[in-house]
Amino acid sequence: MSAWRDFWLRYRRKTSAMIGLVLLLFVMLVAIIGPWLVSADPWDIVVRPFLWPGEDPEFPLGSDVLGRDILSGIVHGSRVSLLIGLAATATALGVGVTVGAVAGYFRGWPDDILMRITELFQTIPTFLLAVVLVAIFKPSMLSIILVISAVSWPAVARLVRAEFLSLREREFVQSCVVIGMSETRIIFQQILPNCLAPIIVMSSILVASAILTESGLSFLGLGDPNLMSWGTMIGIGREAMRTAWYMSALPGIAIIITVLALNLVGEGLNDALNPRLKNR
Amino acid sequence: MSSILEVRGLTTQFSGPKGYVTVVENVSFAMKPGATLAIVGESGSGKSVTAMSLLRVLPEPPARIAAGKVLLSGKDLLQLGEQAMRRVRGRDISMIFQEPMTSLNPVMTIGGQIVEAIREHRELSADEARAEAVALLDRVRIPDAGHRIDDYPHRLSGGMRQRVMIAMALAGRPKILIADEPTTALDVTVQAQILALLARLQSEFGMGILLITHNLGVVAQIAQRVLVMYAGRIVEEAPVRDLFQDPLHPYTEGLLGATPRMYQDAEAGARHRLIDIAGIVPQPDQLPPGCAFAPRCPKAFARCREERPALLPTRDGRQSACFLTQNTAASA
Amino acid sequence: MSTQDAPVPAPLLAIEDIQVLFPVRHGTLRAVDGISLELQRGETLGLVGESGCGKSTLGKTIVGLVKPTRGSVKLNGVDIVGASRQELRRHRARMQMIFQDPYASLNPRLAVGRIIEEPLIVHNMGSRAERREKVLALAQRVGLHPESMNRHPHEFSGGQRQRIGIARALALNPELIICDEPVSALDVSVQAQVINLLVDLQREHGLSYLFISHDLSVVQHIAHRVAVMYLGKIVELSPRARLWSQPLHPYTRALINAVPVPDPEQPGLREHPLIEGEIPSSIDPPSGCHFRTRCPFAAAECAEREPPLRNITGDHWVACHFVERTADGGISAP
Repeated sequence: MSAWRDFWLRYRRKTSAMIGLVLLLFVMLVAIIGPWLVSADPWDIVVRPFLWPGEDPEFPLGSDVLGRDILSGIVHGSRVSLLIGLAATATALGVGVTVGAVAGYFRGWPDDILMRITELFQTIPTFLLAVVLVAIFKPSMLSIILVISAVSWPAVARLVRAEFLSLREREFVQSCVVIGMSETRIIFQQILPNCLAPIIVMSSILVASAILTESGLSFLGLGDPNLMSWGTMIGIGREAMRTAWYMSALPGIAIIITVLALNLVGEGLNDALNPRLKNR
Repeated sequence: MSSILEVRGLTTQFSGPKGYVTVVENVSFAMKPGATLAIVGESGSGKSVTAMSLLRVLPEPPARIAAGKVLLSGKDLLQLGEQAMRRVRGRDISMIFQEPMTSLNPVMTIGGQIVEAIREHRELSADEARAEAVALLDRVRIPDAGHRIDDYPHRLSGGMRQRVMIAMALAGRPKILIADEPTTALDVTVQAQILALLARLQSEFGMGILLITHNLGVVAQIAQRVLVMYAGRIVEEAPVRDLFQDPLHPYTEGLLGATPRMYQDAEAGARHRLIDIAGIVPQPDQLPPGCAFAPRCPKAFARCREERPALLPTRDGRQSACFLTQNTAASA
Repeated sequence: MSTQDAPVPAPLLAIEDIQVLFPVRHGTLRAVDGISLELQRGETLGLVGESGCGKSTLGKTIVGLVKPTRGSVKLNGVDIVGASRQELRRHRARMQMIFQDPYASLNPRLAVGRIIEEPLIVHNMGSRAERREKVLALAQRVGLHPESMNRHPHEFSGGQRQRIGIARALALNPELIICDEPVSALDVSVQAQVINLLVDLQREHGLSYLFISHDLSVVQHIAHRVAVMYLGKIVELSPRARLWSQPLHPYTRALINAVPVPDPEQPGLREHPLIEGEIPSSIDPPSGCHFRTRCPFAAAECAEREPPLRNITGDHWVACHFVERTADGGISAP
C-alpha cells in the first residue's frame, strides 16, 4: 500500500500532471453521466440549423447545419472517443505485449519473425494504413477499434521487447529458471510486472493517439455511420467552415482537451514511475 | 621528517531530506613524503569521501566540507579559490580511481588525453608534450608506447587503462597520489602488476601515496601506515606491522579475523572459522549515540553505548578510539 | 561387474567433456573448452580463475541455464543435458544456485516471503500453511527476521539479500548448490557471515557445493578440492592444502603469488616474479597450451601440443608438459 502512497505523492508534485488528471477526470465524467443530461439522440434534429452558441440558452453550444444539438453531439462523442481509445489501446496492448514478450524472452527465430512483421507494420505510415484498412472492411465501431489497434501494437511490441531483452538477463530471471519455473510464469508473473511502468506511460499516449486517429477517420467519412463522434462533427461542420466555424471548432476543442489531458497524465506518470526504477 | 600533507578535523556532510548528514567526521592525519598511507574500511566507512574532500572534487551541493583544514606545505587547501585549487590538482595532488574506463574520455586517444594533462601543467610545445606522453607511457610499462599512444581507451584492457590513468596522474609530477581502490576492478594477476608498478613509481618519483582500499591484503603489501575507518571516523591508526600483529580496536580485530587467509587455512588441517562481525555498517544518519561500532562489538560495555570514545594516542605512536585500549594504555 | 564388489558410490555430480562455444562476430568464443569434473556428496569443490576464464559459464551449464555444445552433466548418474522438460524440472529441485549479485538476483517487485516460497509453489509442495511455515523456518535458519517477510528486497542490505537467495535455494532441500561468486559483492565482515553460514549449512544438510570465485583466498578457505581454470580449461585440480603447499602449474603459482596476503611479514609482491600481461581473449585462444603466452617457462612444445590434464599423484591433476614424476617418487615442476 505504501508503494501506492509514494507513487501518488510523487505524481502530485507536478502541477501539469495534476491539471491533466483533473481534465481527464472531467472528460470521463462527461462521458459516463453526460448522455443522461442532454438529448437522448445526438442525431435528432431539435432546433433550427446554424444556431450560434449562446443564442438559445436551451442549446448553449448551438446547432449544426441540420439543426442537431452540438452539446449533445460533444457529450455523446466523448463516450465514443474514449471507448474507442480505450478499447483500441487494450487490444494493442494485448497483441503488443504478447509479441514483444515472446520476441524478447525467446530471442532467436521467434524474435526474427515477429520483429520482421512488426517492422512491416511500422514502415507504412500509420494513418494511411488505417484509412486503407477501414476502407477494406466496413466502417463500424468494431472494425475501427481493430484497425486502430492494428496500427498501434508495433510500438508496444518494440517497447516490451526491449524491456524483456534487458530484464531476461537479470539474475532473478535465471534464478526462476533454476527453481524450475515454467516459461509462461516467468514471462507474465516475473518479468512483465517489472516493465509495467513504461507500458502504463505508453498506454496513456496510445489512448490519445487512438482518439486522434478515430477523429481523423470520422472526419474523412470513414467513421461508424451510426455513431456521433467528434471527428464526424468536424466533418459535418467543415462544409460550413466560413460561415459557422464554431461547428468544427467546438468538437476540435474537445479533442484538444482530451488529448492534452492524456499527454499531461502520461508525462506525470513517467516522472512518478521512473524514480522507482532508478533507485531500485 | 616533516609531513607534506596534514589533515586536521576534516568533516564532510551531505544534504539529505532531513538536513545535513555527517559522512566524514573529525578526520585528522599526516602524510610523509615518499611513503604510503592507507585508509582501509568497508563500504560506507567514508574513506572515499575523505579522499575526495582533500581534492575538493565532491559535488557541492549536496556535499559540503563543514570543518577542518587540509594543509599542503602549510597552505590550507580548503581556503583556496577554485582557480588556485585547479592548479593544486594534478600538480601537487593527483588521483586515480577504481574504474579507469569511466575516467577516460572514450572519444579521445589516450595520447591526446595525456598530452592535455601535461600541457595543463607545463608550457610545452605539441611535439615536446607528445614525446613526454610517450615517455610517461613507457614509465608505466605500456609496451610499444609509441604506437599505443594513438589508441582509443576501448582498445585497451582494464590493466592497461589503469596504467594510462596513472600516466595521466603523473603528468603534473605530483607530490601526492591518491589512489582510490585502484585495483578493485582488476584481476589478481593484473592487480599485482599495478601494485608493483605503483611501488616502483613511488620510489622513482618520491611521491606520497594515499591508498584507499577495502582490501587488507593490498594494505599489508604496500602501505607503511594505516588508518582504519568505520562509519565516517578513524577508529585506529598504526604502522602496518603493528596493526596486523596486534590490532587495538575491536573493529580492526574483527576485520582481520573476517579475512580468509590462504596459508593459514592450507596449513591447518581443518578449516578454522572466520570471525563474523554481526550486523551491518550503520547508515550515517542512524549512528548510535556512543561508539558507532558498539552495537556490533563483542567487547562493548555500558559506557560504549553512551559516550563516544575519542581517537587518542596509545603507545608506539599508535592511536585508537576505544575505551578498552585507552584503559590498558593508561594502566600499562 | 561381479556381485561381490562393494558398490562404489557414484559421484553426486559428474560432468564429462563439457564444451560451450558461443558464435560471435569474429569467430567462436570458447567459453568452456572440454572440462570434466566429479563432485562427491558433502564435498565443496572450488572453481577459481580470473575474469573470462569461463568459470561462471561452466556453473550455468551445470544448472542448465546454458546449453553445452558438447558433453554431459550427470546428476546421480543421470544425464540431464538431454533430459526432457519434465525430467529437467525434477532434477532442478536437487540442484540449486546462489547468484553473485544479491541486488539483481531477487525480483524487486515481490515480497521476500514470496521469493523464498516460490520454489515450493512451482513444485506444488505442501499446502499454503505448510509452505508459510517452511518459509519462516528457512528465514530463521539463514538469519532473517521472520517479521521481515512482507518487505521487498530493496529494504535489505547486501548481506541480507544474499541470505534471502540462500533461503530460496534451500527451499527444495537440494543436494547440490552451485555458488556463483556468492560473496564477491559483499564487504569483508558480511562476507565472513555468509561464508560461515554456507559452511554450517553444509554440515547440517550434507550439502555439496560447487563454489565459483575469482578470489583464491575465499576458495582456499571454503573448498575441499580446488580446480584452477584458465581460458576455458582446467589447468590444475588438487586438494586444497596440496594446492597451497605444492602448486604445480605455473599459472597456479602465479595466481598464488599475486594474491595480496594480509600479513606484512609474508614475502611481499616485490619479492615474487610476476607474470606479465593479461588474459588473452577466449575468441582466438593461443594454440597448444593457452597459458604459454604469459608463461615464463614456455617452450616450442607448448605452442604445438596442448597439455592434457594428467594425474600426477593421488588427487592431484595438472595440465603442463613440464610437470613430471621423478625416479625417486618426487615431482619435478618447472
